[in-house]
Amino acid sequence: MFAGLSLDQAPPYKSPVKFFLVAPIFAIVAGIFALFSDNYDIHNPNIIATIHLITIGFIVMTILGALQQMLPVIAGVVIPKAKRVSDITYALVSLGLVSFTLGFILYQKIYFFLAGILLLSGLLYFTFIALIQLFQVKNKSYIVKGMILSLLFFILAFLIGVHLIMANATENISALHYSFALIHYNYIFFGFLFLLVVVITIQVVPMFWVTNSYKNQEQSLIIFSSTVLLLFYPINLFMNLELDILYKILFNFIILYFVFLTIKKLKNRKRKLKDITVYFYITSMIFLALGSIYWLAMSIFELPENLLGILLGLGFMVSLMNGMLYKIIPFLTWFHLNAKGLFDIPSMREMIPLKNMQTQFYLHLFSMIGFILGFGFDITIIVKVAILLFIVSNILLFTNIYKAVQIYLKNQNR
Amino acid sequence: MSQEIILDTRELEAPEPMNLVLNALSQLDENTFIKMIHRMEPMMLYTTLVNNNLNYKVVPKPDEVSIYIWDNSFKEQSKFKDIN
Repeated sequence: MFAGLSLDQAPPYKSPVKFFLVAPIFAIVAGIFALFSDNYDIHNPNIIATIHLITIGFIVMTILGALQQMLPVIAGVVIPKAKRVSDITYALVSLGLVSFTLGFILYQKIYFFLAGILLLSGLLYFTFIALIQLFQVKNKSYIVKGMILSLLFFILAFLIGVHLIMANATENISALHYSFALIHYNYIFFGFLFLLVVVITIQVVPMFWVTNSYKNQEQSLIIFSSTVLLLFYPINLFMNLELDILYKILFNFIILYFVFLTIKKLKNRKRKLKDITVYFYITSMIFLALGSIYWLAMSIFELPENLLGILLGLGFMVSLMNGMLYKIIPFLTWFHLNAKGLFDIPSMREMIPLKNMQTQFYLHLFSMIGFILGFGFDITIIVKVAILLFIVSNILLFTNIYKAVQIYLKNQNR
Repeated sequence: MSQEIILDTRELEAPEPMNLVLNALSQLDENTFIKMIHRMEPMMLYTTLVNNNLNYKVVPKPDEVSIYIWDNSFKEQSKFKDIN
């Protein structure tokens, strides 16, 4: 008697889910730190801690959880000893992040050293295991190649990041420190995050929203031209070629092309059912486009730096992660309960009430608008209101995704 | 004479295609096979089929993919060799 999906190809339910549940908690903590910060200069240690609570605590944690589930779907890749890998990664990254935050808040070197070691270990450990499996895939699709490139950029960016953190800890800031920081930001954002979002989008947009697939030429153009530009970037910096603006213009073309393709596909999707996750995805793409143009404009005009973080970090990445959580967690819940032979369970659409997701979407959107207005016009009270909305949005995000988790917990022993 | 179960999942969102196929697998026998038509390759399905001792052949086309599924008892297994 056929019993349902094989669980061999996926990690246990709780393995990715714990990453998803802790992510909004880190975002809430980030919001609380920001709320009590006296200024929002991005070089302020409190704000650096806040930024990393969101980038590593929310964005990277969500990605680590998602990769555990996406690798089998995208490439048929199974992470060996998945539960152990998940538990070790989770422990190292969480503790590393707490240590990192304490280091910036208390400015005590020991926390920086500890953070460097814990984060390095946790993130590289997972990344290497994933890369080994991806390299073994025969007939690598563009998605697999793109994921490999994304993770390689992550490793490079991360090693540079550890160098930067150690330089801070030992107060040994070299003349090249700023150049390394720029490479770190570019490789983290465009090399790791953007490329990863591209490959995930190529896979999940047709899969979840019944759109036409991305053509091979479209996939390869976006992935490989991004890679070439990123490899060129350090050459430009260290050889003082002063081609920054050209680099940004070319990257803008790639990004805007990707945004155009994605929004067009979502708008023309075959089954136009009311789906809040589409709103999150389109919002994410719009912020990516705005952020990309703003990034270019920063080379020409004097513009506030923190607005770039809002557009690309919160507007693009956090919106996307929000939407993905609302898809992945119901999918995981369905998948694991189905594998137990349970078919009388709520459908994916029924697991999280639509109204709750809509409320959270609008809270998130208004917080983004608040940040843009507050930082754009330098009005602190608006920034504070936006932070409050952001905190409430993440509390609601947590309670919403927990509803789907509860369905699994209630049925797991049937 | 073999019986073909056609599952056109091109316009179904995940995980409905997977659900449909899984529910149909119990109908496989010596005279019955499944032809699944999908807009993308269902990577997780392949491992599930192998783990359940089922056979499959993937025939990709420009905008879709056909997946033929049969079990070991199916009498006309040679018919899949020439499918393109």
